[in-house]
Amino acid sequence: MKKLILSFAILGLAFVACQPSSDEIPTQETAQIDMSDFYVYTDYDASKATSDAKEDKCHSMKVLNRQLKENPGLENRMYNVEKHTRTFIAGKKPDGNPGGGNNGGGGDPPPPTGYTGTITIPVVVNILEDPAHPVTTAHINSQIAILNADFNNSNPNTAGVPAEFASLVANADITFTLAAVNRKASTKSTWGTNDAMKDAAQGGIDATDPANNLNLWVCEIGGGILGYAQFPGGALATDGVVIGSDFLGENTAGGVYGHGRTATHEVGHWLNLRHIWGDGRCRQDDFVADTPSSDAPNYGCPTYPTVNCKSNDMTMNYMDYVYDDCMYMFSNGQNDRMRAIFASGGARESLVTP
Amino acid sequence: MKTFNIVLILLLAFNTSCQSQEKKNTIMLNYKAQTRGFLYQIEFKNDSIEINNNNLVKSAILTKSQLLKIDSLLNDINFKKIEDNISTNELAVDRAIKGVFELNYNQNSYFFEFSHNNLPKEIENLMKLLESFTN
Repeated sequence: MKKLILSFAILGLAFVACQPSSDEIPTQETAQIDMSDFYVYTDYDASKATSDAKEDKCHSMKVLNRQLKENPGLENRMYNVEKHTRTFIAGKKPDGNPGGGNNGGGGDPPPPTGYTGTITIPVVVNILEDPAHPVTTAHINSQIAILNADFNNSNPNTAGVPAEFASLVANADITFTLAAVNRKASTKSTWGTNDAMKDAAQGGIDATDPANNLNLWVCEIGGGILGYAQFPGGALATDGVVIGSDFLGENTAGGVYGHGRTATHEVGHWLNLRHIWGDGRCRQDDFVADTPSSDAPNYGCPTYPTVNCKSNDMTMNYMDYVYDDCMYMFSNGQNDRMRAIFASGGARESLVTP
Repeated sequence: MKTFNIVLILLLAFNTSCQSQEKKNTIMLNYKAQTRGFLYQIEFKNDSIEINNNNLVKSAILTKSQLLKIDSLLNDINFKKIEDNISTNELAVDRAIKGVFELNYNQNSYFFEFSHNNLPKEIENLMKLLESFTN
């Protein structure tokens, strides 16, 4: 009998320890600098999300440990960027406790000092010119104008934000200026996503002073990719965003993706924003309190409301996957994350430091 | 009566055997890779196939010999050695496209999540073969 009870107890413990990641909605209000929900992306998080949920928490920890061993530097930097961001955001709250713990115990470091006012980001456009996909000055100038509209809440489509989200629309107050345009001839039809376009030795164009500029590469990426980015905390030599030639600025060749929002979306990643659905199921968050939980991207031009994870998706957010004309807002919480990386000690502080 | 019973039993056994064989040979494959501005989807069941490549849809009814080729190719794939290869690190910044692969074959079910632009060689060959049947 004793053995039987013991067996049941062990089974019960194992069951509790490996609870599945259900579709519960995460609690958005977490302790101020609670990093417990911070996840470092792992292959397993994505691959087993729908196939074998019961084991994922336990198994993903094993994978996480392996990946941390493989690339400890990057993961540590990502963790530090996230912790700095959360400290900054917590410090902004009236009852903020930036040092973590209960009621701000002594010895906690002071919160980062936020950068107030307009943030100006010089943009260096590096074009690997394919004659079949020309990139004109008009494309470049319109892209800069679109970025300025989107990061200053002057996208005319924003008027269509549903009442539910109207009070959450942010003005990030970030201005982009064209610093330089570098052009290099290229007949390569598929540059891929391994950053070759950022390396002169591989036929690309080296980044220009990435600590003080946003480098934006334009080339034929291929493989169905419209653009991609790099989060803060990565290698400086590859820091920036990459946009497919047909999708830069106002460009008829880009069709429904030809209105410059691929760059807005990718610059959002460059400024530390995650996809609005958190690249996982309902529990996997984008680390933004005012964006509703979701479990997958939205495509096309969804009609409101689109319900997932028991709430209405913010499909019009720039960090979703909808058509260019159907995305037209950043939220206040996303704005806080973006501003955090320009605060003292932030990953992109150098851009606002004289 | 005895003869009737024997014939009935034989008929039932034959029918069950055929059903089992049919079930064994039924192949069902769904594959979907999607990201912003890109969709690639294969739907294959029994002898019918439809491939949607960025909204260019092609379909076909496969011949016996085509089905045999698919069966032979699937038979040669060691699915135990195939692994998911998508990295959420890459998905998170749009560097990769997730391709969800579901297959029912020989009464086994397989589920994988691949990086669409970096498919395992065997899966890539399978898709090329399927594509060739819709051209």
